[in-house]
Amino acid sequence: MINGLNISIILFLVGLYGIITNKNVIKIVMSLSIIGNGVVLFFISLGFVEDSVAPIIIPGVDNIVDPLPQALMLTMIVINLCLTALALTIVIWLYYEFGTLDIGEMK
Amino acid sequence: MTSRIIKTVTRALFPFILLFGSYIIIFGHLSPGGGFQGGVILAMAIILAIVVYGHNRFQRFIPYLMFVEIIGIFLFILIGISGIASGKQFLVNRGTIPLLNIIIGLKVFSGLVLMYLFLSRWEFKND
Amino acid sequence: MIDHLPVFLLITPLVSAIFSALISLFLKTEKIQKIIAFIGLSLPFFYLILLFQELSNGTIEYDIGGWTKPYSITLVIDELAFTLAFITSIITFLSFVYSLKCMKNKDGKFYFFFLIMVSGLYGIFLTGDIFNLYVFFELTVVSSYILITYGDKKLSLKASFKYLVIGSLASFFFLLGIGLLYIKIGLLNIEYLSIHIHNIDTQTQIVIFSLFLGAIGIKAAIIPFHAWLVSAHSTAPSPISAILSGITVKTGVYIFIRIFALGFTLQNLNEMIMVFGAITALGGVIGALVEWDIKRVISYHTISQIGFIVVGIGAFSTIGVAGGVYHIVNHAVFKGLLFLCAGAIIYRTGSKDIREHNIGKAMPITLITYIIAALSISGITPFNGSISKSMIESSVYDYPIIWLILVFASIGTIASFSKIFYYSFRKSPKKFRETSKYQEVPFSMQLPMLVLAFLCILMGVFPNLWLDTLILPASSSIISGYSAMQIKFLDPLHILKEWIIVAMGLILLKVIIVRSKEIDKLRKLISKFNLNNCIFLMVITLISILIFLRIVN
Repeated sequence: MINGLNISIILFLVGLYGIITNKNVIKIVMSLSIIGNGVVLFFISLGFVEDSVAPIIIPGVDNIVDPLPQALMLTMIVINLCLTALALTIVIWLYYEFGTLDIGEMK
Repeated sequence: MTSRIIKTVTRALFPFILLFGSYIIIFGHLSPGGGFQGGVILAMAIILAIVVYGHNRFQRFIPYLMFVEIIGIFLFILIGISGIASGKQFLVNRGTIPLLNIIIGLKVFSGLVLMYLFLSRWEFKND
Repeated sequence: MIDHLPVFLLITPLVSAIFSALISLFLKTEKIQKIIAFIGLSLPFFYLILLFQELSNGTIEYDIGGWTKPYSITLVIDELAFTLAFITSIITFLSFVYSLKCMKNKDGKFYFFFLIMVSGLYGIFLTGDIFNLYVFFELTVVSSYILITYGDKKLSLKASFKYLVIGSLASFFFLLGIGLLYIKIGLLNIEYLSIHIHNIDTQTQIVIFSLFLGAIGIKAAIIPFHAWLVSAHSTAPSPISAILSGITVKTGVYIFIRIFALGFTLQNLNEMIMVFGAITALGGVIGALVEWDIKRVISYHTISQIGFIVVGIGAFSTIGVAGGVYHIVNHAVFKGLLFLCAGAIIYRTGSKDIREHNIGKAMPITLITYIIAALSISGITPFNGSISKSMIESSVYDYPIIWLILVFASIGTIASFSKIFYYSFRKSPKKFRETSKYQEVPFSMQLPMLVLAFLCILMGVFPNLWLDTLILPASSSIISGYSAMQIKFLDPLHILKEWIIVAMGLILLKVIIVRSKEIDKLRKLISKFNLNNCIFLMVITLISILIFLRIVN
C-alpha cells in the first residue's frame, strides 16, 4: 500500500491543492516545487524491480533496477531548479513593484 | 550577525567540502555522481562562505563567473563538433566523458553562485 | 558536411547566443550583438533550403551520440517538421528585423534570450525522442517567460508569473504521461512508441491520453485551459508576441499531431476533440468582441484560430489534417503580420486602446498591411486564410452542428477586425492637429510587414506550391492512404458563402457599436478569472474527460 507510486500521487495532489487555494505568492512557488518532487518520485519508483540492487556496474551483479528513469530525473531536477529560481526572481520583482505578496490584491 | 564559532568552523570545513565536491565530479562515470551533483556541492561551499562573511565583498567576482559559465557551454559544443570532425556523429564518446563532467561541474558551480549573488542584492531592510 | 546539417541547424542559434553573451560582458553597445544575431538567424534558412533537396529522397534521420536507432536520440526531419521549421525561420528572422528599432532596452541581454528561444523552437520541431521534446520545450518556455517581462512593466510581470505557474503545470502533466508510456513500452523513441502503443490495455491508454490532453490543452490554449494566453501575449513586446502567437502556441498542436498519430485505439476520440475545437473557436471570438485593447483582441483571435486547427486535425481525414497543418502555416504568417501592425500603431500613438487612435491615412503602409491581414484571417478569397479555412470546413460536413459553430466564429472574426478598422483607422477631422503628427514607422519596421503581406498574397494565389510538395505528403504520412483529391478553389458557391458571412459580420458590428453598455458588463464578467479559478477549472475538465472516456470504452 505504501509504495513510491502512491506517495508520489499524494504529493502531486497536495501540490495541486496548494496552487489552487493559496494567496501568498511564495507559497504558490513552494507548491510548484512539491509537485516537481512528486513527479521525480513517480519516475524513480516506476523503474523498481523486486530484489535488485542499485545500478552500479560491479562485476558479478546481474539484477539491477532500471537506470534510465534515474538519468531522466537528473535532467528534470536541474530544470525544476531553474524554474524555481526564475519564479522566485519574478516574485521579488513583483514585491518591488506592487508592495504586497498577496495575489488577490495585485490586480 | 555571525559569531566567532561559525566563522572558525567555516574556515576549517571549507577545503573539505571543495575536495568532496571535486571527488564526486571526477569519479562521476564510475560511481554515483557526475557533473551536476558535484557542481552543487562545490557551490554550497562558496555559498556558505558568502552567507557567513557578507555578500558585499564577493560582488566583484561576478564578471569572472559569467565568463566561466559562457566558456563552459562553448567548450561543450566544441567537444561535440570534434565528434563530427573525427568522422562520426555529434557527441560521440571518444573517451571524453570525464572532461564533459568537469565542464558541467564548473558551469553548475558558477551558475549557482551567480544566482545567489544576484538574489542577495535585493535584500530588504526590515524596519 | 551535408550529412550533419540537422545538428548544425540546432547549434547555430545556440552558438550565436553564446557569442552575443560574451560580447555583452565586455562591451555595452549592441551593434555587434545585432550583427551576430542577424547571422545566427539567417543561416538556418539556408540550411533548410539545402535540406529540401534531400527531403525528396525520404525522411532524414540523424542519430546523436554514436548509438543506433531505437536506443539513441534521433533527429527526424519529415515533411511536417520541415514545414514548421521553415516557417519558424522566416517568422523569427522577420521579427528580429522588426525588433531592431522597436526594442529600446538598457541591458544587453535581450538578443541572448531571443536566440536561446529560437534554438529551443528548432529543437522541438526536429527531435524524434519524447524526453528530448520535454527538454527543448522547457528551454523555449523558460526563455519566453523572461522575454515577456521586457514589455510594459507591471502588467507583464503579472502575466509572466501566471504563465509560469500554468506552463509548469503543463510540463508536469506531460512528464507523467511520458513516465506511463515508458513503463509500458520500454523505449522513448517517438516512432517506436507509435508502432507499439496499441499493445497497452485500454484503461492505461485512457489515463495516458488524458494526461497528454491536459498538457497539450494548456500549451495550445484550448478553451478550459486557455487562461494564461491573453494576458501573456498582450503584454509582451510586439516582435515577441508575433513569435509567441505564431510559433510557440503551435508547438502544442505539433505535439498533438505527433501523439494523436501514435494510434490510440479509443472510441469517440474524434468527436471529443472536434467538440473541444469548436468550443475554443467560438469562445475565443466572444472574448475578442468585448475587448477594446488592440493586442488583447488579437490574442483572443489566436485562441479562436487554434480552435479551427484542432477541429481540422480532429476530423482525422486527409483533407482535415492537411487543412489544419496549412492553417498552422498561414496563421503564423497573418498573425505575425497583425501583431507587427499593432506594434507599429502602438509605437507611433503610444496607447493600446483602439478608441484613442485617430490615424486616418497618416500611416499608409500600416493601413494596407492591416487590411491584407484582416482579410486573410477572415478567409476572403484571394488570400491564404481562405484556402485552409475552406479545407477545414469541407472536412466537417458530416457534423452540421460543428460546421455551424465554425461559421459563427467566422462571422465574429469579421466583426471584430472591422471594429478595429473602424475605430483605429478612422480619421476624425476635428482633431486635425493631432493626426498630422503621426508619421509612418521606420523602414526596418516596415520591411517585415511588407514581406509578410506579400507572403499572404503569394500563398493565397498559388497554394499548390506548398500543398503538393509539403503539406499533403505530411498529412498523408500521418493518415495512411493518400488519395490525391483535387481541391477546388475559386468556385463561385464558396465566394458567395464568404460574402454572406461578411455581410452578417458587418451587421454584428453595428449591433456591438450600438449596445456598448452591455458589452462592458460582459467584459467585466469574463475578466473575473484570476490564477486560482482557472487552475480549478482545468482540473475539473481533466477529471471529466477521464470519466467520459472511461464510460465510453
